[in-house]
Amino acid sequence: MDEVISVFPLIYQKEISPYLTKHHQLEEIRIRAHQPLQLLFSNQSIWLTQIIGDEDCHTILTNITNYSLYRYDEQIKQGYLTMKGGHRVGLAGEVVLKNNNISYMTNITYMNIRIAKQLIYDLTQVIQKLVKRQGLYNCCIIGPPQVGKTTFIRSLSYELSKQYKTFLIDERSELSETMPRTAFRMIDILKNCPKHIAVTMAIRSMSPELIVVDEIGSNQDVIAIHDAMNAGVNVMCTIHGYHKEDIDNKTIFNEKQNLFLFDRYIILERKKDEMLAQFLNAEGKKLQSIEIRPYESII
Amino acid sequence: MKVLFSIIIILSTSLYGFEMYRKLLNRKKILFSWIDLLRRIDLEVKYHKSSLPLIFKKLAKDLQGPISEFCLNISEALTKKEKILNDIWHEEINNLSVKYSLTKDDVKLLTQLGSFIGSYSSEEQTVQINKVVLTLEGHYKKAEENVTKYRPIYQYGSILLGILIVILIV
Repeated sequence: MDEVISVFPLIYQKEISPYLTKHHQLEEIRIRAHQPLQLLFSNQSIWLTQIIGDEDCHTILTNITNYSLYRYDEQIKQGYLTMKGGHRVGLAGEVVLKNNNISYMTNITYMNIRIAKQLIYDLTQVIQKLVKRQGLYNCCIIGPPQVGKTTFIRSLSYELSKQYKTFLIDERSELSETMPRTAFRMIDILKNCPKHIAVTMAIRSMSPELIVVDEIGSNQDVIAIHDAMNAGVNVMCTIHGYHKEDIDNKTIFNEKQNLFLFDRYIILERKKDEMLAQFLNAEGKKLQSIEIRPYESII
Repeated sequence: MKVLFSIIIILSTSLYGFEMYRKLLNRKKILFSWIDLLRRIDLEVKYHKSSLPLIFKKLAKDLQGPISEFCLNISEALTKKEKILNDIWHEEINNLSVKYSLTKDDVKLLTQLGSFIGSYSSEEQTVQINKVVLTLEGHYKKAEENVTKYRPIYQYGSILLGILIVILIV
């Protein structure tokens, strides 16, 4: 958490520090110009007292990027950047358009620092359900925002890399930053690369047994995943949604692609510190629910 | 005694003249180094996309003299994160200005650079750096002219001044 606190000017650091005792429950820090900071925990929200000025927003942004804003051009165009520690920062301000495309975002005075969970879940039971006689089931993890999809898939790739050659596609540098560096894990990580390109690269040159992708969001991603499956590579990915039907209705899938693309679906739900993973088969039939707990130690 | 006194006077005025000339030369050299430094930073920003602390660390190794020292100090300070860049930059420019006789305009221009370096998109950053380089090139041209213009005055004039004082007093 030090990397998050240190981006704030000293006056705000003093204000935030007392709330960090329950830091693993802190989910978001909202920064809005001319308003105090807002801290969002899993079950409550706290407004601090100091009003953030435009200049403070600029300082925070400069600190987040380590005085190197020019490195984040592409990410900023997409409205986010990833800071040290894998924390994603959502951005809003004034967009500059060029030929109807976003050229840049300026006057960034609204930020949302989403704290990356440094947890690894105990997924022994989940993995048992994902292993078939030969290899793994292709699996799609469905969950609403903030349910813990990224944390879940990070834990999953960490566990599966013990046995399978895993290729982790980390387009937003969120997954790998907090991945424990344990020896004898067969995991290769490609950062900052668009997912559909990364999948092709992986198949072509890295001979993975499993490709892990977080937050698929375009038809190009789906096509790439389809290609990977056709090449005999297992795929696990996450997607926003509440139910399998949400996926069926997504425009990123066309009817043909969605038809039995995945062998298993896992619907994630939050239950305080625990998570509930509901398993569905390809047809959407409910198979089993498993409660998942984090390991004792926080990495 | 008179001879010794005369020698001291001529030596003093000559030394003063040479010192003034050295300052002009130093300013010219440091301005040239700054133009070189900014062009290198621009290249790093455009093509390598390294972070600013890394760029300064690399340039500290590649360059020599006071500019190398400047880069090293900035890189170390940014890594330690004890102060904000603008403050460190200000301090370092002030140190340089004292040692290398930078003018008020030079200092103003270089100090402004510290307030925006690393705070723009790569495209904007390039535009800003190029603007500063253009202005610095103007300063450098003037510094070069001053060196040519004042060289005889400081080098020979100071000796002649010494001789004149000796004639008048002694």
